[in-house]
Amino acid sequence: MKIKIFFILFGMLFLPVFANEIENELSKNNSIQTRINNVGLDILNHNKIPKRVVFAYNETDKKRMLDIYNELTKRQVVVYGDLYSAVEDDNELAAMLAREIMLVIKSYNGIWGGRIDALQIAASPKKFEIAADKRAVDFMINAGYNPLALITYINKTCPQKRNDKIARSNLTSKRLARIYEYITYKYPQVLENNEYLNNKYYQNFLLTSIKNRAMLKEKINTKSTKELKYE
Amino acid sequence: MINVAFGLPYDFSDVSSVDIPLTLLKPLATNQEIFEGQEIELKVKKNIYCHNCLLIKKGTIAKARIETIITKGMNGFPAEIIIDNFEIDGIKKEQLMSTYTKTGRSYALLVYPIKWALTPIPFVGSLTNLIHGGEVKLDTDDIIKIKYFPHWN
Repeated sequence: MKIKIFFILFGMLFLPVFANEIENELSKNNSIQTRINNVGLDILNHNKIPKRVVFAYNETDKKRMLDIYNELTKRQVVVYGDLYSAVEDDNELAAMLAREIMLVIKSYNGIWGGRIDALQIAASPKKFEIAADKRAVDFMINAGYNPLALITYINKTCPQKRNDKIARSNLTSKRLARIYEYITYKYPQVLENNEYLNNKYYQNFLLTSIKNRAMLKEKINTKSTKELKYE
Repeated sequence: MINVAFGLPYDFSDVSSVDIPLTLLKPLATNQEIFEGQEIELKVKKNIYCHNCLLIKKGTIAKARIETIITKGMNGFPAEIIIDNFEIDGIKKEQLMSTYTKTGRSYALLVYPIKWALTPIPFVGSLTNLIHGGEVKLDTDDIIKIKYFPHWN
């Protein structure tokens, strides 16, 4: 009898606490999912992308290296908790989503319902990494987001390997340099009215890309059209 | 114009559209000197009518931009070119659905079976890496079709 009373009292005291925690957790996840959907649909609608793309928030799992299975087969953009935690504002969230949206769209094109194109992306992720970065810049501009957020987001989330000669992904410094070059040529107004000059991550990119940016400056001065070999 | 019902800057309710066929004034190819952000000129291939009224005259010059170039690569990976940002006098950009993509010839269907068949012999399968995909070539008689939605805002 005493044990029963103990359990009843225990339940009355602590169950509401657990229920509250679960409710808080659900409400937190719901607000994150809503935020992701809002930004994602902004990109899709402003770019008039006539393909279905869905967004999912996964708090527990971590994104595996070059994992693009969801994008290419389910046409779903999964935002993992560890990457989401690095997102500071909607511009950076848009940067993260815009890259993945590009891959999803590509998986719709071509013969056999896009299977061959999807296979090629999976087989040549290095090439498509740069293409996805560039298209992400276009998508962000069209949707009214600042593409420099793509630089800050990659700068803080992607580690720098030693080299990429036989790797399946590009050196992060190369990716950043290509994005910067793309913005410089296509959207110079973004750099003229640079809202990110007071951003620590952007300044860190400027600091770590002095050599690459000097190469770009030389290319602009000489009006060269050759592809630069960034480091 | 803001969609009053939803407060959104777009409204895709209407499905009626008119195709606008365009052709390039100068041919372009990914193995030539072209660059991302380059403006290109096109002309409207025929008179375009909307609600029985002449909307765009044949020969009208339109502008567009080379958005992204994906170079060809190993394993039969083809080059790709994405053209967008079309501008035609008298037509609002918001009323156009215009992203045009052209891909070169892909040899993936040929390369991957050969690669997998040769994989048991060490290093031989990797030789297929040397097969590159095709370049994109757009001639002056290739038709680039974009869509105009007269009732979109």
